[in-house]
Amino acid sequence: MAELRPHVDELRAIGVEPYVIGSGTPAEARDFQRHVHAESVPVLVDQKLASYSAAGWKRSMGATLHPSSWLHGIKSFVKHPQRKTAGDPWQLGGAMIIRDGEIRWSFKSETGGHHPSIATLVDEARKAVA
Amino acid sequence: MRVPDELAAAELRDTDDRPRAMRELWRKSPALVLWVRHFG
Repeated sequence: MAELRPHVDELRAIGVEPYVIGSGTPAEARDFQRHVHAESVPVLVDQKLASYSAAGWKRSMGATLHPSSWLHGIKSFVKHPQRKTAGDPWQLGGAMIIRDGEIRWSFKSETGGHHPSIATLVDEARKAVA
Repeated sequence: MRVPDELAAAELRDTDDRPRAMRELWRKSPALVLWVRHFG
């Protein structure tokens, strides 16, 4: 989310509202929001993992601990040191751009640390509103 | 592809622990929704 923060205004300028969903508690979400200085980005929680499941995102210890995730994890840690894990440690995430109830674009994380680049997110958001 | 009903109906909570329906996220404008692996 720290990578997203500098692009929030850009997304809003094209009419796209960003949201972040995690599986921790509301208090952990607020703490996370403050930690990455992203108070302007709505952070929501889904402790029951209902939206993760309905979206089709993976929940897997093997995928989360896949060797390819180690390099992602090291790079990420160097940029944004992780504190404790707040949420389901085996739940992977994903992303969607939704307009008028239609999924215009989606991305499913296959391993820990596998996520779209910010450039891709902004580019796909632009396409969705074009 | 339409958002599946099960996904649209998912109940979320905000940082003040207030309920938010998933379908509200794209009601007013297109939404970029990022599901993170964990807060940390």
